[in-house]
Amino acid sequence: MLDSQVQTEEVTESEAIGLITEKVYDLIGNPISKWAVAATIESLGVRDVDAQTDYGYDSVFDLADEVYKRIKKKVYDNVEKDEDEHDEFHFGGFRRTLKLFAKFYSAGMVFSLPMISQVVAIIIFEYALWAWFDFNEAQATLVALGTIVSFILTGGFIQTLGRLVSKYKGEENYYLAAKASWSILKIAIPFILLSAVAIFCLNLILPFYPHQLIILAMVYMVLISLLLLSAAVLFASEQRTMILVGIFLGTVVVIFGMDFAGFGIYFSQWLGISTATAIMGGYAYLYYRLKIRTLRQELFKQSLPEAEVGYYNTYRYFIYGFCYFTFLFMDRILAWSAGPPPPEYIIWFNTPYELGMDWALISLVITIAMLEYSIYSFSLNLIPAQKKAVVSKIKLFNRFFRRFYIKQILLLLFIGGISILLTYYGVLSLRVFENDVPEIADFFANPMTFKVFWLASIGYLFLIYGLLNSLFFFTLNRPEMVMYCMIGALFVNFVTGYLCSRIFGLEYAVIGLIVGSLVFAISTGILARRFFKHLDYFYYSAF
Amino acid sequence: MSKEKPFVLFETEGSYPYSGGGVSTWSHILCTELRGKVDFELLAITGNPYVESRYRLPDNIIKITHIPLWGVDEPSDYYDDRHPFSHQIEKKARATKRATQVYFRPIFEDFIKYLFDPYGDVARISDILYGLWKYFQIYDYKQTLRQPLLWSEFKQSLTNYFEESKMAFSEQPRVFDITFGMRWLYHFLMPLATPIDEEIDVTHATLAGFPALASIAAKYEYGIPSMVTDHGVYMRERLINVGQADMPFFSKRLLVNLSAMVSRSVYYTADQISPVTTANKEWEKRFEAADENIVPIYNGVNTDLFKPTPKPSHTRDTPTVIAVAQVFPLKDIETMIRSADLVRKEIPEVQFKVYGSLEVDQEYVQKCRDLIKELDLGETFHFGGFHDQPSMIFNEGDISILTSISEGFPYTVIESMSCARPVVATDVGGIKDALEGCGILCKPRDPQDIANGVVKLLNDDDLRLEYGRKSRERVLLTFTTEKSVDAYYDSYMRLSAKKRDPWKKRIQVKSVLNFLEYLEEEEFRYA
Repeated sequence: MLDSQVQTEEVTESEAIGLITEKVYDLIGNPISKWAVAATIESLGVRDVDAQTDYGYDSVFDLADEVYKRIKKKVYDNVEKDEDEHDEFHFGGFRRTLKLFAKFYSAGMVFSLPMISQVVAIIIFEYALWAWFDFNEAQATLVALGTIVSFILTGGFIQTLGRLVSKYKGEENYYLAAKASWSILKIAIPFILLSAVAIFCLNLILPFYPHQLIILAMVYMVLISLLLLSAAVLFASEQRTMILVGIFLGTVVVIFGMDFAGFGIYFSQWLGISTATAIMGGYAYLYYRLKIRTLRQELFKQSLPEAEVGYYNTYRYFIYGFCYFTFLFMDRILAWSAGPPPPEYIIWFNTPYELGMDWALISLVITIAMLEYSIYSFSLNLIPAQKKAVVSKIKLFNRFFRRFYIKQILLLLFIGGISILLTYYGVLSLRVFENDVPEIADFFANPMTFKVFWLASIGYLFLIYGLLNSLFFFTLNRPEMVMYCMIGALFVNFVTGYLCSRIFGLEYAVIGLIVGSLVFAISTGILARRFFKHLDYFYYSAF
Repeated sequence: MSKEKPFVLFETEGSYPYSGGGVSTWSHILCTELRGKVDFELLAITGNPYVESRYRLPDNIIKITHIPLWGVDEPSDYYDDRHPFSHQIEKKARATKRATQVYFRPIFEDFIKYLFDPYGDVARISDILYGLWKYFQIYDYKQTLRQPLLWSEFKQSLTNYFEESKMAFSEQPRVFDITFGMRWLYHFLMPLATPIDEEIDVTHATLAGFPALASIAAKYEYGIPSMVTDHGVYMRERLINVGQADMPFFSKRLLVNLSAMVSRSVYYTADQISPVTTANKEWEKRFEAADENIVPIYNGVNTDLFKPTPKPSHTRDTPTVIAVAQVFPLKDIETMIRSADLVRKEIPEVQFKVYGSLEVDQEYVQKCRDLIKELDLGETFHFGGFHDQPSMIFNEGDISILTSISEGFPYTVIESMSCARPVVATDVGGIKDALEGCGILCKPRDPQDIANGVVKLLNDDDLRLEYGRKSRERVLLTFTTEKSVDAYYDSYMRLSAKKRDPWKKRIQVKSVLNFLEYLEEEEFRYA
């Protein structure tokens, strides 16, 4: 037997209790119950026999009673000063807010860059992926038809893609994000193709347009749809720079086709759109493949929910997406089908109207980028505020976010106002060149363009406010709130736009956009008011 | 189902068949060995939906209901695969504000009352848990728990509770506590939404926790007898894990209270509680386990696989001490290292070898390596890593050692005993049940005591051989796989033959009674 050269230190029972109290406190801090203390003492290797011999208690549970009392006394003796009744939350100062704004506004603008690149391409080269200065009205009509139909038909799929891909990507489950993308594309692509065939067949039965025009329109429709779907995957995967790269390189192909290869406008643009789609789609494929391989996510079994469950989980997003894009283009459809003068065919491109809308779109793009900041800032502060707010003062929590919301509205109004003025005067400043550049003179020739610009800009401002509210609802998993508001807004847009365009003139179709956007703004605003009043509930139920 | 072949609802959490570990291994052995005698339906709770079975399941596992507590938008797709999704839509349509207000809210109020007083009347707690289960068979689970009025109720209850109790400011609940508290209710109580097959003969929970909510429901609804196996003590482990977690005070308390409510009710309603050791009895009894229902069933080993063989040539002439343990703090390898240092002073040529995963807690592994270096034990103490043939390990040594500070009834002890290798182990958990009379029990965290035991056995060949022989005999008598499995089979047979007595006849809680009366009046039929 070994001699006890290594002696355990002799301690009194009282000292031993003190030591074990310290150990328990170090491990669990303020104990939630005596049971927790007993369990912790046992986890330190103290048995009933040790409680008797070393601590003088019959059992671990009896020892735990004593240790619990001692720790509680220590905790209550060191009670923190209560917070002032009127204390508010503060999370960082103005500088932090400014830094965040700069960062996320820039990120929001990145998404607008593809569109801006198209505008720049048009100005410098006179053509872009699906635009050309020298399009006649028939050509402009077919391209516009193709574009509008593609947005409307893909809108629901885009929103569903966005929801599912961002959900799975947020869980870092690239395997299911890829699987979800593919499951939607497997439905969307045949749907697009069938729709193209159906529209063509319909036109055979009811010849709204010459067949050649419809065929060309459907080719644009299909190609732009595929491009939108591939861009949607990248957007939801937060690979937004690649969208710009794809669009840019596609545009380069168009320029090459027109200026060097002599392919003609249609083929050049089809090639350009296809190239952009291939680049974006190819990148998405490689991105997910690499991620899945690196994380070895293909090695374990996982699957998407059953189809019916998937539809149930996403149908609101689908409906919203479809309605949203229909809403965006409703005024054009109504304007181009109205007079005077009566259109060549059922829907016929109207240049001054379109110019006004495109002009207003610039202000939309500049303003909408701020939503990225708003939503990030909202998400960033949610949990810290929850941890700070005591239940007895839960109103402080809700009040903090109500004030936050008001600030976002004011910020939106400020940026919206600035962007409208900047857009107006910025484009107007080009008038100095109108004598030298006939296209500029043409741009400003028709007063309708100015009228439409102002009306549409106001409409877009209301729309962005509604989108701001919608983003909060989406963030806390309330798509039904957005869906119903958008359905209502679409209906009002249609009715108002139809009546105004038929009674007052085609350019007044944009009144439908204003009133519809106003309805969207008001309805989402009412819901937002309730949302922020009971934010604690909406955050809890966001599962 | 015929009593000759009981149909058992086997309830697991974070284990069989989707994860490895001791409980999973035990579960798999049980199910496999009872092929042809017992059919099983598994109710497996996991943390996320993306899991795959780690085992080749025997054909007597008829069905698996997998309930992922997190990570799914529509949980009914998992907990209820008996019905088409249209059935779930119907349930959602029924779960209106009015239904929640009139029928659910009163039950929920009673539930919340006991959430803050989990050591209250366990009969009433059990009634309430059944009432919740019954409600969720008619009305959708998620739709119900998302109702704003329940949130308001919960919030108000928390506020009232705080105002009435004397708590320090730091203990005051935050908004975070309510949010996550209510969300935990949503996640952890999900087994209450699972339908129970009336054909089940016995429910068997592998822990006294949330999966056993199904057992409570089955007992009340159909009178199906239930049993619980305690490998550790669920509540004690919960208290340790949650107690040390980095979360606000009130959240910890809420989580533990919820666990305590459920655990007490599980023990209360169980016909048989079978811990793997007698050491857990005190905890079980304090949480409502009736003494007469506690029937320990020890783990068993395959004695044909784990059998004595001579030491291999590379250790034959060296006094060798073997340990099989994952290297993490509960196994207290540091104390083992210190005891090795003391043993070396007496037996300079001694070798200590620890086989077990080094991946569980790499920080702790490094700590141990640093200690080995500090004590200059590089030539004496070795980590063997994971060994894929555990039956070969113990025969490498003369004795084996286990220095854990917390255990249930560890397989490694009886495996070593089965190889006639006596064990020096800390007297924790159920180790005494195995070792008394044929091994050496020591005080935890006491390197001296452990070292004394090791030296005693290594120096005294007669004693070592005698203990080895006795160890093998003890295992053959008491701790074989066959004995363990037979004990479970006997339990299943006995319980399935019991007359069914649905407890819903003896409900006392008014809110639950009112709801049941309403159901009778409406003659609800649910498939």
